[in-house]
Amino acid sequence: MGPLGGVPPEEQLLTITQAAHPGCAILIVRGDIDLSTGERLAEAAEHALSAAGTFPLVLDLSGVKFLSSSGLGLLVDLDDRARACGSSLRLVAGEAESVTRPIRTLGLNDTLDLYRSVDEATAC
Amino acid sequence: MPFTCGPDDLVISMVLMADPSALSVVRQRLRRWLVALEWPAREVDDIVMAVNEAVSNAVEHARPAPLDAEVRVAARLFAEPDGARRVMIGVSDDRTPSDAGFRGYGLLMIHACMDAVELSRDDTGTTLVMTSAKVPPAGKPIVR
Repeated sequence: MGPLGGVPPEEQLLTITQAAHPGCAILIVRGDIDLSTGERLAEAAEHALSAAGTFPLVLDLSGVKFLSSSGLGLLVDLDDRARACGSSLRLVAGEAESVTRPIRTLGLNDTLDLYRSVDEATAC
Repeated sequence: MPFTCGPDDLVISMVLMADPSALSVVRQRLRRWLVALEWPAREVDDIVMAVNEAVSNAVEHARPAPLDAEVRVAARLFAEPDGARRVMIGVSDDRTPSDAGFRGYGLLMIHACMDAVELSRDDTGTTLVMTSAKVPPAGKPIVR
């Protein structure tokens, strides 16, 4: 519990870890993506994207428990940004309905590049 | 739609500061309430999603939030004559009609997750009233 009595600090709500893989950048994202945590994810992804150059950026979202429309907007922006600089954004949703359902609801499954596992996302 | 009102304890209400940190609190409390009501899991997700969007919208428009900017969330369980259940949720804030719009995908998401959505605004504030999809009486399996 946070200092405000029951409000979890944003760092606890969402964790972002970097993973090493030759030929791409990987960020492992766990927790809730909402208006309070989105900015931190956007910054981390932006940073990883500029470091990746034209290599793809893989976001492992299989540990994401909640994804709001603001989070989806952020992913669409990031996808645009990646394409514009010759890279690509690859999202690993795994079996997480908390990720695939909102994506399908907004009809973004054709816009966003979804993979079932990190292995699959890093294979091509 | 003919509704009969449930017992008084089948309501939940909260007043929160119009700040992004309120979102996880709303989601957690609402989820706990719905799980206690034996609401089906997917329909819980839909309600939590819609309410999160409504509160997000209020929070976004209040940025930077004055310390006294509030968002109020209230939900009530209803039973229809055949026993099917719904919840009706109101999310209100102090925004005047001039800045009571929605940004991004929020409203689209709310409409996708709820059966009915009604937005009302006047000089005292903005209220979004949402009615969930109906679910079977507690203890009965959902038929898809």
